Parts: sequence; C-alpha cells; structure tokens
Amino acid sequence: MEIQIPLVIFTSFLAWAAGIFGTQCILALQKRGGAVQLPALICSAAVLVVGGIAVVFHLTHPFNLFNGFGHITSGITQELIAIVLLAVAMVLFFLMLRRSEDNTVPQWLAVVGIVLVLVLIVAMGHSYMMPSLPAWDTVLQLLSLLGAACVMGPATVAFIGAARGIEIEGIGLLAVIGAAVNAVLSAAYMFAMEASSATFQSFQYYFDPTHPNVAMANPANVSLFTGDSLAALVVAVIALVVALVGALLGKKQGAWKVWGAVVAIAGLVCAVALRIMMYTMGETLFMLY
Amino acid sequence: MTQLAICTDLDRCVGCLACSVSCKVVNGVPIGNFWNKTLRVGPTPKEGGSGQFPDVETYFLNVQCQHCENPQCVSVCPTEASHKLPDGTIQIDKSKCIGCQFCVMSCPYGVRYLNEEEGVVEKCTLCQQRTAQGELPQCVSQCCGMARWYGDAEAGIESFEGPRGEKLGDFVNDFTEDQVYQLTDVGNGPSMFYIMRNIKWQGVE
Repeated sequence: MEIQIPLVIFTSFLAWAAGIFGTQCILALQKRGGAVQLPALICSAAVLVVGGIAVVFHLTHPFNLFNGFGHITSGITQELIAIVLLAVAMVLFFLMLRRSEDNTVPQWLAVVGIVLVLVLIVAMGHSYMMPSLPAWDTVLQLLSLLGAACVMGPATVAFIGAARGIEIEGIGLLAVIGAAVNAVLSAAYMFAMEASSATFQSFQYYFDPTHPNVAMANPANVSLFTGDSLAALVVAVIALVVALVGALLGKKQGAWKVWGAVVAIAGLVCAVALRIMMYTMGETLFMLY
Repeated sequence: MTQLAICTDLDRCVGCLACSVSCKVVNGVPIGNFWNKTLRVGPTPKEGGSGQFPDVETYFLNVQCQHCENPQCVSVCPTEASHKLPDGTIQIDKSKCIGCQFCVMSCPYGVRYLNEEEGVVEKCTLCQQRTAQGELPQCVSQCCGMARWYGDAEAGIESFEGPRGEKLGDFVNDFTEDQVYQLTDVGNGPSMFYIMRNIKWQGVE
C-alpha cells in the first residue's frame, strides 16, 4: 500500500502528545513535576495540533473535514471523539494549573487524563485493526502506539525540565521504563507483521490479463526484509536501541538536556518508521485483484 | 430481507473479459481501474498428476465488490457515505465521501479505489442505475458464456436470472452445495457465489 504520510504523522504525533500528557498526569498524581507542568502542557497541545493538522491533508480536500463525521462505528469518528475529550482534559489541566499556587492539579484530573490518554491510543490503534490487512490486524499494532507514547512522553518532559532548569524527581526511571516498553512492544509488532504473510490469499498460479507485465503476487514477498520495508526496519531497530541506550545514559548522567532530546527524537523516528512499515506491509488479504 | 448478488458458473466462463469491459463502458470506470476484473487462476498442477500438461487445470475468476453481509467498508466509513441498502447492495454516496480511503483499506478484496479526478472512492454498484429499471447488471447481460446470473440470494441461487431470461436452476448443469464457493470470508460475509464442479477451488474459501 502507498505510504500515507499524513496518517503516519498523525498517529506518531498523537502518540507523542498522549505520551507527554500522560507523563504529566503520572507526575501530577504523585505531586511531582511542579513548574515543568505548564511548558510540558503547551508542548503536548502543540504536538496534538500538528498531528491534527497533518491528518486533514489525508483527505482529498481539507474542507471535507466538515462533511458530516459522526458514524460511530467508524474508527475515525472514535478517534475524533477521543481527541476532543483529551483536548478538553488538557484545557481543564491548564485552568487548574493556573488556579494552583504550587503547580499541582487535582488527583481526579490526573486519573481522568491518564484514562483519556489510554482511550486515545486504543481508539487510534483500533481504527487500523482491519481483518482485510493481516499486518495491521493485531493488538500489537495498537500496543506499538502505546510504546511510542511511553518512550516519547517521559523523555520530552525530562528535556523540558532540564532546559528550564527544573529538577523532576523520578523522571529518569520513567524514561528508562518507557524506552524499554517501547523496545519490547515495537519489536513484538515487527515480529507480528513479519508473521502476517502466512494469512494472505494465495492462488499459487494465476494471471491478470489487465496487468500482463506485472509479476504474480507472492505472499512470501510481503516481508519486512524486502524493499522499502527493510530500510524502515533498520531505521526502527536502530532508533529503538538508541532510545533505550539514551534513556539509560540519561538516568545515569542526569544530562536530560541532551539525552531527553535524543530519546524523544529516536522514539519519534522509531514510531514513524514503524508506521511506514505498516503501509509497506499493508497488502490486502486478497492481494491478487 | 433481500440480498442481491451475482452467481458465476465458472465452468461456463470462457475468460472473454466481456463482463469487465462492458462494466467499464457502462459505468465510465477510469483507465487503470476496474469494478469487475477477470483473473485466470492456474494452470495449477492436478493432485497426483505429472505436474505438466495435460495434468493441469485452469478456471477464470470474476472479482468485484462482494456486497457483503457485514461490510467492513460500511462500518469504517466516518460519514456513512458507504452504506448498505435494503436490497443488500453496498453503495457510495459520493456527496458524503471525504476520500479518507479507510473503506479501501478495509476491503479484503481490494476492489475499491480512489477516483483521483472526483476525489471520491468508487466500486461496483451492481449497476444500480440499470437494476432499478428492471434490467440486469451489465456484466450479466453481456456474458456470452451464460456464466453470470443475477438475483436475490435469499431466494436461492437457482432463482437467479440470466441474460436471456432463463433461471440458473433450469439452465446450468447440475451442481451440489459443496460445489458453490465464495471468496475468503474474514467476518464480512461475501454475497457473490461461484459454481465450480470438477476443478479444485484455489485459495481459502
């Protein structure tokens, strides 16, 4: 399938925004974070907006956005609802921060924020789980988005904290756990994608008279180790290793101004590469039409 | 409940592509796209044979929108542009289509495509413009091998009508229930039928 760049940016950036906001909520739940909350919230909202703008360019015309969304069984509608709910929670978070004198928010809001982050990730991942596309139709695809949020969120918050000279207790551990979760979930999804080629419809020998010069579709060729998938695979593996090593070094050295940025960027690269693989591996079940 | 569908007797299909071509002509399908495509499946070595001619078998398979019972394309559509009509067919309201192509991704058979010029998704309508006037889908009426038959699946495929007005049950050679096939079902419930008697169906049903 042709790589849908707007959707790649949309899912990666929304996972990033969810990761930052989720990290903020975890810190808020533990009465930590302090002065980093507001700049992190602005960063999270900005990333959410970038992802939201990117997805508009996936439509054949941006104004089609106003063409009557609302079919509730549609993953796109569910994503839209989850994004709006998360945006409302962010606004509440902002208002509570402004009212607070010690940069804290109520615990209930932190819990609601974490739940909405998870809802957004589930809605986003679930909308791509289609039986027609074996490489997508696995819960590991959904969990890979959670991994992306886990690696990018704490690293970004750690970077913002370091850049503004704010000490955030325990952020190093969060970043290491996030990078490890991402490494495991991303690797698991890559294995699942590679195994998916066994599901394709295969006729062994066939001929399409409308495409006489095109070679027969062979399910064995739908592999992470061929064509564009291979390049994305190499990038993703390097990125997830860099993120993990960066998080460990960041925790050890405490130099989050450098390692926070390295881990967040590596996490984003890993997420984007994984989404690109989704499209290069995204052959339909009946891949002969 | 009605489920309009097409049944193709693959033993009668000669692979002339008249269905594919006539569909493109009558529906104005853009160059490079198809609402109805005819694939040649085979030559496949027969089981226990030499693997060489004449121990091989071939059939032609017409693939189009399967007008599924539980269409994924309908459930993923955010604007209900893709919808299922009471007659069982899946149609696209082009005025509502936003071109997100999730229906294209969700179709197990890859029969949908984005019309770049119009910015909307298209696929086989089962010639709604013709059937609404009591005519047959163009691919059925143009089938010179008398292989394509159209009707309500709820009434049984024997009642399907052919290009000259005959009923499938009265016209084609006898067949049993296990000689009626459908494309791979991943929960969508395809509605098109294929009859094949003495050749092995390739792929997963």
